[in-house]
Amino acid sequence: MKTLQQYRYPLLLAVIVHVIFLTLVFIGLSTTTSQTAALARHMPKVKIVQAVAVDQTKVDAEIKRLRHQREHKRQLQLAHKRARRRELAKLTQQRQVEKLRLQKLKREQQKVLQQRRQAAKKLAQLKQQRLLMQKRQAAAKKRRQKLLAEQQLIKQASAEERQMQKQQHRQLQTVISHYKNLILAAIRQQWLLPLHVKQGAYATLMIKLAPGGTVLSVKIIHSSGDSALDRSARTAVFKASPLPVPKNTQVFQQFRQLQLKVKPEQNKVA
Amino acid sequence: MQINTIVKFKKIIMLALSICLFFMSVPAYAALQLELTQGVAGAIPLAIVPFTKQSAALPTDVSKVIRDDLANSGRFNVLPAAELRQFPHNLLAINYNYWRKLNVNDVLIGTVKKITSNRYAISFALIDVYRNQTNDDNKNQVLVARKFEVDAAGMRHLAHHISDVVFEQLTGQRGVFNTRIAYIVVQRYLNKPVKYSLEVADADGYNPRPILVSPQPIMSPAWSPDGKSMAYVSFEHKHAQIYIADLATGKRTLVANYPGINGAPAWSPDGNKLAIVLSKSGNPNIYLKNLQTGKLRQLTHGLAINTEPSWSPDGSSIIFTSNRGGGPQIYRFNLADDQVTRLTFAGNYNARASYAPDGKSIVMLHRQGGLFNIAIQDLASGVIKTLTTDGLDESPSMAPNGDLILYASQYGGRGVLGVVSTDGRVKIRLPAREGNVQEPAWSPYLS
Repeated sequence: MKTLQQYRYPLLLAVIVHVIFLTLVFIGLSTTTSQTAALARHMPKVKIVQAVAVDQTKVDAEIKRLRHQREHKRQLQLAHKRARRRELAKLTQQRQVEKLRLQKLKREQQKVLQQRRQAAKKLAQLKQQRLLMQKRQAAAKKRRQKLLAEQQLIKQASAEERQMQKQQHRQLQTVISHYKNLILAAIRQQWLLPLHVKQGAYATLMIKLAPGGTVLSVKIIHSSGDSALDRSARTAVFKASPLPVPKNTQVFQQFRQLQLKVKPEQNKVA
Repeated sequence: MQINTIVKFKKIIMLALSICLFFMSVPAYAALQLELTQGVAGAIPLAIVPFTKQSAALPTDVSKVIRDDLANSGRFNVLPAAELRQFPHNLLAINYNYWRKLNVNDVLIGTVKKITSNRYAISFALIDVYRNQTNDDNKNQVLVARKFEVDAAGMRHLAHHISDVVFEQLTGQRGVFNTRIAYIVVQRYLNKPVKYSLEVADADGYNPRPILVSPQPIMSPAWSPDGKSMAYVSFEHKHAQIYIADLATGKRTLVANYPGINGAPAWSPDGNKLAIVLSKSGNPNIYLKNLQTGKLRQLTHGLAINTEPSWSPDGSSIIFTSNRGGGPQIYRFNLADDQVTRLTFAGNYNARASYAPDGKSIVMLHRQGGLFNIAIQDLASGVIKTLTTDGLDESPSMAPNGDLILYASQYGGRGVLGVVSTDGRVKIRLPAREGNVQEPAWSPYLS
């Protein structure tokens, strides 16, 4: 459709040119025939003979006149002939010229046609190219959309996962704090507080647990400087073994290593 | 060759990758943080394995002495010997699971060997039952191990020394097993004059030896801060006089012989002064006697009775008993500005007070419901805790580590000595002497 619109003017022009040309040819042809027809109508009129009384002189005169007339007639005819010949020559020339012009026109037309064909071809090519491009773009777009959709999905999924993880984390924290309290209570019951501990003295122990809560090792990573306090805490941890730990192996991972700070608070003996 | 290296390289890469994956798949957990601020008050459970004897008759049962020392210290819950089924005498023989089942924290093992007729080799090792869960490292379990050589006479002393080592190792504080006690023994027999003796014995009441024997009353023995001298009140000249006796030489010096009462001597922490009670002005008042210059300074005045002085550990003040407020109560005299502050308010009878070594509390005689008992008062809070319940207890004297209080009590119609831990958990009676035992005084650290 687009192409039709694009080539409407050249097409129209071509049509008009043709119409003009054809008209011209037709007019030219029609004038020639009418002239010949007029000549043909003159001829019989000239041959008409009138039979009247004749006198010699008169006849001679007449003959002379006739001769003259004949002569004149011949002269005229000759002149006609010549004129006609000229006319003919002129006509043939005209026709020749016309023919050449026609040929030229034809050539031009063909040229135009060819051009047009080429243009059409080009156009088609272009069209095809554009189509291909469009196709490609569309494909790319589709791909992009698909990717986006996937990403969206992933995002959504991860958001859900995060939400779930958050919830799980919260639950985990609850479980952890529960067991933390149990562990502290277990050690507290075993912890014989040394008397006369310096105010603010504390020790930090690193406790390693086996699944089930068995104490594997207790390392004093910060000594209180009071070996009795350090040892009382270590002994308490061992005596509290096995410590209460979650049965779930995943949750237990959190309890593999405990960092216990022991800091006796004055007047807080249970 | 090249292919081989490539294969090797590939293997290495795969290994590295798998290691990476392994670490990624096993999340690294940080150690969980816990904080404990409370425990239980209690004695440390301890097992003492009777020391192996390689000769039948020994002058002293060393491990028995140690057992009594530690059991009576108030800090240990010593497993009764009858409950033991295993008797290891060296590290290799120790079955840790057995001792853990008995719920003891530590085990003391040792040997006594006779070398010559009067020489004995004694060794011991204190083992931490819980130091490691695994039993493969015996050396690591030993808290302390020592070897000694003594004669028969030194065995009891050595046993006390081992008790001190164990005590210090397990509590972080000095033990008082090699300190001494002084007290007065009064013996009355039919048709015989009364016999008063000032005696010094080991902290567990063994090895008593007289410092002074008199037919007249002896009172208020007081150890000098270095433990080398003792001040006391003697009526040997029919009236009260204060003497200082050198314990090594037996030489004595008369330091107070004023008209009226000369009583209740108390050494200043630096050993240069003696706080005494004199009644030369009428009623008993506290005075300071400078032992180097002989100068006397009167601290308390007025018409009330002021007596039983005792120094604060820093030497800045003296607490004493006074009835200036009606009944006897404890007051503090500040030596810097002569200000007197009342310390006790609970009950209508508080007397014979002395400071704990940390200066944070005072131990005293406290009457409650008509009963005289030993009580300890926290100075910061004013809270009083009654430690004994016999009702006839008196003369409390604190051990230099502040764990135990020696006091005079009544048992079977006689005066005996008792020891109570400052937390009130452990209460024992010292071996009975003939007669009435009175006015005990615990020595300072002697070494």
